[in-house]
Amino acid sequence: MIEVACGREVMKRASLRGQSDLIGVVVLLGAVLVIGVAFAGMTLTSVSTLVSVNRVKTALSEDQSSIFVYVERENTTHTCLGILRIVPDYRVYAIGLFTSDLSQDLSGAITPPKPDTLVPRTIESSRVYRLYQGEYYPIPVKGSINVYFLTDQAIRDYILQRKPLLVCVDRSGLPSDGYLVVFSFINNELYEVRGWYVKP
Amino acid sequence: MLSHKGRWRGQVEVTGAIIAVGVLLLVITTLFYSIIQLQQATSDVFAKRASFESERSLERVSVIYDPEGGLCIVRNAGGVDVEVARVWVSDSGFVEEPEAAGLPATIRRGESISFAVDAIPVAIVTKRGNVFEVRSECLRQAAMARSVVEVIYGGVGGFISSQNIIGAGRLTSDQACIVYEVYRGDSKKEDKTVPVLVYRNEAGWIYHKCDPNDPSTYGWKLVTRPPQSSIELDPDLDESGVNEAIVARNISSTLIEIGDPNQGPTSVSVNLTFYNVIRISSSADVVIVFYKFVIKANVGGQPHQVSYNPRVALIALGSGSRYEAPGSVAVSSSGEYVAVISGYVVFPRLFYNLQNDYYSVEIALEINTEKINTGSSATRIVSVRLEYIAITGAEILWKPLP
Repeated sequence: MIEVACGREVMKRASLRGQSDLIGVVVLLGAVLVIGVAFAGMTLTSVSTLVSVNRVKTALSEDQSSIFVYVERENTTHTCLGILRIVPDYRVYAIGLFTSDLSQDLSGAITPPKPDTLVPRTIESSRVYRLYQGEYYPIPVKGSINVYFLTDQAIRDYILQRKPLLVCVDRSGLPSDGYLVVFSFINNELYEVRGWYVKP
Repeated sequence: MLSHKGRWRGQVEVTGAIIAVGVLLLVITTLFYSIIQLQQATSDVFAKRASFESERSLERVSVIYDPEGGLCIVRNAGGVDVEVARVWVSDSGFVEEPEAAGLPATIRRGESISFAVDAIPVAIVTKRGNVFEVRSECLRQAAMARSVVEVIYGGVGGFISSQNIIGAGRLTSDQACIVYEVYRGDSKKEDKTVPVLVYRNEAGWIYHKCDPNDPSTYGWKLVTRPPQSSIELDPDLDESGVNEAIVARNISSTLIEIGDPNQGPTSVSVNLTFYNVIRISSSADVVIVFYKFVIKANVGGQPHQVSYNPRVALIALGSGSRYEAPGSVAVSSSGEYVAVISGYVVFPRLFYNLQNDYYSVEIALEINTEKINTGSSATRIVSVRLEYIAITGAEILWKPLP
């Protein structure tokens, strides 16, 4: 009887230890899962950000290499520039005109020869970046600036057709040297991809 | 029991390790893929850009002027087909449908298209961003052909003589604007009493007085005061058969020339600025300005010494740059008191670094006289006239009236 009682006692204790071990294992497993998932989430977030930044850089690098600006016609008052994307791709671009140090907005001197190609729009200057020695910096204009966005029709008729878009600048309205900038519109921000100096 | 517990823990560690390794693999793969994608995209774009630049440099459009047919022949002389993106039909107007300007959308290699001289478009813009200034090149060749014939066989003349430019309506067009200044005497003070440049054509005596800032003053107008019948100027002083543009004064309702035989100046400088008269493009290597003045002086029957110092300047309207050079002088005389001053100035484009721009041409002639004998009377300058100005190697912007 004593042996039977001892056996039951041992079984009972063993059962209790098994339960506590199981609970311990479940807790450990849960902790590992939580930590693992959190780590995976954080890593994926950073990777996603990295990939996103890389995608922007890739797009801007493509734009810098693809956009080609040249002087098409010039007379005593106007300079007309051709803007060409050598690889057709649906991208949104904007055009601005500034003083050569980009401190003053001169976009009033831009005269689109075809009215349905460009549409004026105001954008916060904090969302506009200039290209300097391969890096992007916010432009030094305070408040907002005026730029001309290419219309959807212009993108279809010129960018996707690999045909140069014509933009003219009225030089008689320039107080100093002007700098015409072609911006790429990515993530609601404007990034300079090409520029051309225009003398008054 | 310990071994039982250790087995559970081992499974947990393995599970954790699998998750960690999986995450690491995912991170590494994504990064690797991202970097490869960036490199691939960058190298793709650079390869396309290199190919584009190569094709762009292969585009060539030649322009040949056919003097027999009076045609401009535009030919694709390059290694690739030329896709026309836009055609400039005038200095300020363009069409985006090449067919509207008489051009195909694609000019195949070796293909030629002929145009009448007055119908050739100003410029052809290709889809590779090349701009071919076809009209200026054709007009340059046509001008060279004509000027060679005129200079060699005509003796006088040139691309445009005053007779030709007025006869053809060039100076009477809306674009014509000549600004002139006259400085009299040794002090070289500006003579404000010389208000007009006059010329006689089929319609009678016409005058010109222009302010470049006021387009309403461009061109020539018929002289009404004084009446035509009262004007006694000789339209062709050297009797060459070509009338001269005369620097004259309108005093007391009478047109008289720059000086009086007895009281005229002993030295005079005349500056004539032909405002916005030419456009120089990279297709021209040398711009040559020819001129011919006719001067009349009263030497009073005495031995006299007169020096003539011409100079020509090209003034770029866009940049404001000024390119000046002294002119050559060849003096001949068609009468006792009449001297004919002709010469030319050469402007090699690369030497002067002439930029593609619109230019005014300024011609200045300084005339100084000196007495040989102290007892003799002073030489008086009576007339200063311009018989022709000829410009080659540039597009003349003053279009003749139809």
